[in-house]
Amino acid sequence: MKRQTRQHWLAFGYLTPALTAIVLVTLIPAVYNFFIAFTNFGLFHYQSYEWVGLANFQEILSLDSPLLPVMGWTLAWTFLSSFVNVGLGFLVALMLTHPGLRERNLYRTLLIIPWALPGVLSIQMWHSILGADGFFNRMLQALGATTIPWLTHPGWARLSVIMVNAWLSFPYFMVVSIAAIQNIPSEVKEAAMMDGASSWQRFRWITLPMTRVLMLPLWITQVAFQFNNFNLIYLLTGGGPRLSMGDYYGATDIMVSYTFNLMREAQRYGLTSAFGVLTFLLTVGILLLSTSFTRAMKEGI
Amino acid sequence: MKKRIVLLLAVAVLTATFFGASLKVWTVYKEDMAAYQALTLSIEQFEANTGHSVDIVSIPDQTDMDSKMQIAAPTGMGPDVIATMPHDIIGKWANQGILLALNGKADMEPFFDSTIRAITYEGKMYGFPLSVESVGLVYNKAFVPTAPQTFEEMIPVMERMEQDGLYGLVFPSAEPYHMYGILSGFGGYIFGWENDAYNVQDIGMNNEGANEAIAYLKSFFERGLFPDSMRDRNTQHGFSTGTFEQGKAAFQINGPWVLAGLDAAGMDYGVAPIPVLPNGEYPHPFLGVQFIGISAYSKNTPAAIALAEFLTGKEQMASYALQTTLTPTRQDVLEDARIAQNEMIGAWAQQASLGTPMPNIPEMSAVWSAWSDALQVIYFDRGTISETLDELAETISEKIQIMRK
Repeated sequence: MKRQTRQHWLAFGYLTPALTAIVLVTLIPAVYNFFIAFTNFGLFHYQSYEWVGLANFQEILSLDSPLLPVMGWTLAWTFLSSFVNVGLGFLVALMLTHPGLRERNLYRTLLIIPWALPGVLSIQMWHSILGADGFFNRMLQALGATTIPWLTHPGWARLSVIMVNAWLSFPYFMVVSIAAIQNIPSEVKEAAMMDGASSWQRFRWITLPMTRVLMLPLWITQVAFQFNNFNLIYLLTGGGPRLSMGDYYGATDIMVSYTFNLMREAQRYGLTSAFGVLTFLLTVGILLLSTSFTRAMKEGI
Repeated sequence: MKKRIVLLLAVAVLTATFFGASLKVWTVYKEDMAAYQALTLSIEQFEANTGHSVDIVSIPDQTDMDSKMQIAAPTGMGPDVIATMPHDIIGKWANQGILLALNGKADMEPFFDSTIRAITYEGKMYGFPLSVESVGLVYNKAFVPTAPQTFEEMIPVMERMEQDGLYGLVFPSAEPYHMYGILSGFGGYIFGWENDAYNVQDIGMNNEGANEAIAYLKSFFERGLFPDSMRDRNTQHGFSTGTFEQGKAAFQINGPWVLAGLDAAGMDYGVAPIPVLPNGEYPHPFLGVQFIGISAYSKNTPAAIALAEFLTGKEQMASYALQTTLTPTRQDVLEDARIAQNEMIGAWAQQASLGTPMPNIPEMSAVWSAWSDALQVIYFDRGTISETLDELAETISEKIQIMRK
């Protein structure tokens, strides 16, 4: 008994450095952020600010606030881009595991490159490729076609962010999918072939169900990650283009990048923190929803 | 005799230790820049004169400097003196209480009025102006031997260049910062200035002058004298500096930062004030003032102020200007024989004497993006000038209301 207690204390001793770091850099800022969400702290109430209760949340939830349009795109972005990323990775994996494919390792190595490059750099590279007189538009001009406003027209910009994100993210899902596909026992496939199942039937009734268990949790983490994918949006379009004059948000702004713009332009830290709290609650909500969804799916197999 | 010297030295060292303060200076200039080296030279002189010791630290990024000041200054770990920062940060830092107000603590008489206005926020003065810059007219002497005095004089040159498949005047005309000179020359303004403070209720972005200014700029597009690349905010910068550097344009409206590229290209160019507009007025481009500020948390305020006064004194400012070719902010320095002989400083100083300080209030963050959007709407014919400018003024005042809540 005595020895056990001592071991407990020892365990805490070992954990102290990690716990201190977590408390200092995660817990305290989070609690502080939660606290100032209920104050009017901002550049014009900087040295003395006061408790304003739910006023910031009321302002965000009021009808003319940008919450709805920004939320709409955030959700569309989250689900579309996680679907495209995982789907593309899976599709490429299917092609790479096709028995008839030659030079498999060469393709696989080439396709992993986007994953190996540091994201911050490759996003900026895409920013210049898609620029008004970037590489793509120069190619189009050379071919005599009209240029495309990749990053400056709302629709094109939304397409561009999803495309670039897919380029950056699919290799990871490709690698995992290849492992999952190769894990399917070959007897099962052979048996299906012997029974005369078409390639679609083999895909639909063997490959898909037997990889789903592995792919679904990945998809959920993608959803949570894309919901807060600040780097891609901020570095590629800066959230722009704005839909109407001087808006705090643009066509590609998701909640986190919008919050950042608001913080920088309006400099109301209380209001911005309230947005942060809302984003946190939404992320948790989406995670809970999709976990229960996958649990249902797993049981359904 | 020898003993005496030793004694004197000992006394000097002792005084320095006991009475000399130790000051920390933060600068936005990088170690390899002429401005940094000039500052260091002056500071060494200050140390030798006063016995204070000064530590100079370079933080060569404005955003970085801003956040480091906010975090470090209140804890006492920040600098005593900031030398220098662009003046448009002053409103923010004054609100955050990290800059010392200098009223009654220093003599501001020698500085130009416009530079005093740049460092004044809500009636209080927050810094010593060290240098000033703005956009001006840069012209390629291969096409035009002398600077035009008026826009009327420029137009025939622009037409001739256009016929030769070249460009007359190039500049980022969709960029608020660069086009403000023309807007203000016609009588437009951002916020009114009353009793040593900006009145954000008084927005001059949609007055008659602003309407005329934009109509005037737009007429150049309609006459084919401005190419389409100047309409678009995404292409205007690269197009303007690029074509001018390649020797394809006669005039450019831009700041002293483009000159290094022209020197590298070996171009024979001149600098002059942006010419007089059809209404007989000079454009008043934005002035950017590099100021020396004192931290409100400094424990050595008298020594810090002494350093700032020394650096912005006649003697030091003159040698600083000569080493950096940055425009000085005092009349007596401009009259200094060595400065008066310097053609480049003279040209930029003449342009600076016509400029208006860029507002230093935090509310400016509500202005830039809306203004840029409005110019795109107008240049691409998605709205009429007067309606778009009215909407702009309204948007600005709405955004200010949100900020101030």
